Amino acid sequence: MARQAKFDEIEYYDHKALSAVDFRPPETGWMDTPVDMRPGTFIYPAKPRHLEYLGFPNPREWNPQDDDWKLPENWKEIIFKGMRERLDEYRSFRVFMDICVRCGACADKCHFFIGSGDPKNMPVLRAELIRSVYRNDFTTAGKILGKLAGAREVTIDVIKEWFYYFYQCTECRRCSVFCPYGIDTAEITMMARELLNLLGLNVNWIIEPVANCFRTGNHLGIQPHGLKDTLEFFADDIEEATGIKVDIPLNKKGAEILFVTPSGDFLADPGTFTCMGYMMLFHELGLDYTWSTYASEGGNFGLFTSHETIKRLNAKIYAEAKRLGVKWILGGECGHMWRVVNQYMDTVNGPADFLEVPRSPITGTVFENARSTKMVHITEFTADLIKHGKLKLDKSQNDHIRVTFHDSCNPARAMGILEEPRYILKHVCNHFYEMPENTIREQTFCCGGGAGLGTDENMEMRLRGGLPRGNAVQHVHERFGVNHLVAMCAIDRATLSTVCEYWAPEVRVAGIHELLANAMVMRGQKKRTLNLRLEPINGEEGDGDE
Amino acid sequence: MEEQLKRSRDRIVRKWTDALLNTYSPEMARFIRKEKDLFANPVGAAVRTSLGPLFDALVDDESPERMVAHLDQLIQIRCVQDFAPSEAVGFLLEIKGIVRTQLSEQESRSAVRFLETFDRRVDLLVLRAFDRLAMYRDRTWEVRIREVKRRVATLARMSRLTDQDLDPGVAPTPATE
Repeated sequence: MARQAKFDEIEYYDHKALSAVDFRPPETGWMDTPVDMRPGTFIYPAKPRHLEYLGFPNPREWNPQDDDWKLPENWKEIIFKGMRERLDEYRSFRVFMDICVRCGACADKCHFFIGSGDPKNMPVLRAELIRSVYRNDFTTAGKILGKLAGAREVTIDVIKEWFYYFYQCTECRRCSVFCPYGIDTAEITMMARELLNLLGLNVNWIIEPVANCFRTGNHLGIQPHGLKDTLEFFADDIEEATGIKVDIPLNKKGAEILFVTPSGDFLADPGTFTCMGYMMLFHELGLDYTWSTYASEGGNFGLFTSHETIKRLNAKIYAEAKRLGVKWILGGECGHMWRVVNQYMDTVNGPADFLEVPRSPITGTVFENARSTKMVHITEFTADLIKHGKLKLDKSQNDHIRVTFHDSCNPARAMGILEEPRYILKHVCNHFYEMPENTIREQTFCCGGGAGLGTDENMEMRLRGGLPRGNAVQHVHERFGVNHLVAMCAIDRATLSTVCEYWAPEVRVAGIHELLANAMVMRGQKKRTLNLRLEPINGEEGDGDE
Repeated sequence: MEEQLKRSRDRIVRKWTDALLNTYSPEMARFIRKEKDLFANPVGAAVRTSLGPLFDALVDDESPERMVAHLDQLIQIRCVQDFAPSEAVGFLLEIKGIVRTQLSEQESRSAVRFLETFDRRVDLLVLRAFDRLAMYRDRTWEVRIREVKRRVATLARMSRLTDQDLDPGVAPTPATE
């Protein structure tokens, strides 16, 4: 076919040329389409000092936009050896490499594909990026038939493609819900990232928190005195809102419960208000609990790095539980922390035999589901309190807001916590509206910033990934006047605030325990006129379209 | 001439949609056509609801402000997709060619006047669309800055760096024409 003129060329307006215009797209095979590292779509590489601190390989300054990524000379050998070891060690990895029949059920379920249209964001094709190498070097058919069998040789371009796309997967596992074989795509991404880490290909948004957590106990690198100051500062704000000075038990030996939550809630709005909510709840209950400056991180960015790193970071929580002599652990509103606890902790560091099966000291409820890990999700704990009538709640304190609930991927899909958060929300506010059913519960759409993608240099990519969620939020805003999106995950609270600002600008983000604390009537409290953000309750200011 | 174009509306809108879908990968183009659910396929929904009404608005000589309103969601989406700004709105210009293919050479010659006017409307539309694109582009930077501020909110408050509310709750108001 003759070359067609485009609309920005003068020939285009020639009548004869016009009638030849054909809008059918040219088909190019995915194997022949290299990645384009455009600013806004990728995350900055890890700083060498953090890799050195962790003892990770190949620390160096490098730039994904350069041709030379400064890989070790024997990079190919490292990849093959790494793949071989993992195929031998994890049966799931081998099964996931072999079993996919490319039915396409997952293809249009990924928020990044839906938002970007990039075919390599279809989970099946993203997995194919690594499967093709597996076929080429680890299967007979691939060795003989090559490209015909969907095999290809691993090259530097393939490695670049892995880096680009496996740091574009948020490990949210929405696609896995639709896979007839139950392939856990997140685990494929995890394996790919492990392999990339062997070459020193990692991103700073993950590695710096990992190094910080390893050194000081939390992702943000907050030191013990800093954490103490922070919590005291929160206590001051709580006092201003309620007239009550809450206790801050810190590193308290012999406490019954160790409380662990993501450190994002110490520093970043709006998670900070959820953190205040925990402090008020525990104070009101008179709970015998403690914060820890050593286990001051619920999240575990090891999940986005390697199994070894998961273990190293998770072990700190249990070591601290042992040191303090607590009976069990209560965990805050976090996302991927619960995937680690619920699905990996027991095999990497468990069972935690030195702890007791968690039992609520207020209601006597025994949390059988946490019998092995000894770690209870705070919405289970709080829902149980409400069920037993242990909290005095004044829903009208939240009457000025209309709420919808975003199921955070990990608690929803990796743990099945679907009812407890809704149960709490319905007891603390009068106006609760669900988003469309194919965007909530097991089918919930990711915020686009999970699995270590929640930084800001890749904002364009994140907003693409956040489109399906933002679209559903905007829908309930237009239909029901929803002005608050509640999420029980620190990454969600940080990244969905931004997703909403772009896609649903009238909606702000809050946590469950923020709303709970605003509705909770505390003994001895003054007349509540301010919420935890120190804004007038039921006031006209700053609350969207009320 | 307007009547003639109205009679060919479906064919023209289909071709225009083809031109738009041609800016996506074949996989995405298929998905956009196939999946009709608004929540499973927000891009598809934006495509389906924009070009038809937009074409009517063009033919009926509506104001550029009203024309661009039909496009708003699509532009908001294309602003963060993998397009250069010119590519993000460039597909709009294809309507000039598409309309011409509806006419025979003879008809084109006699419709020179009409086509001149029509082209000018399209040009105005493209300029407005570019304004919207720039507005959404600004918003991506704005939300990025706000996120970075929220990230260190406690530090800022503790050090009394700012008395400003870091999260006023409502994003910057879209620039309106």
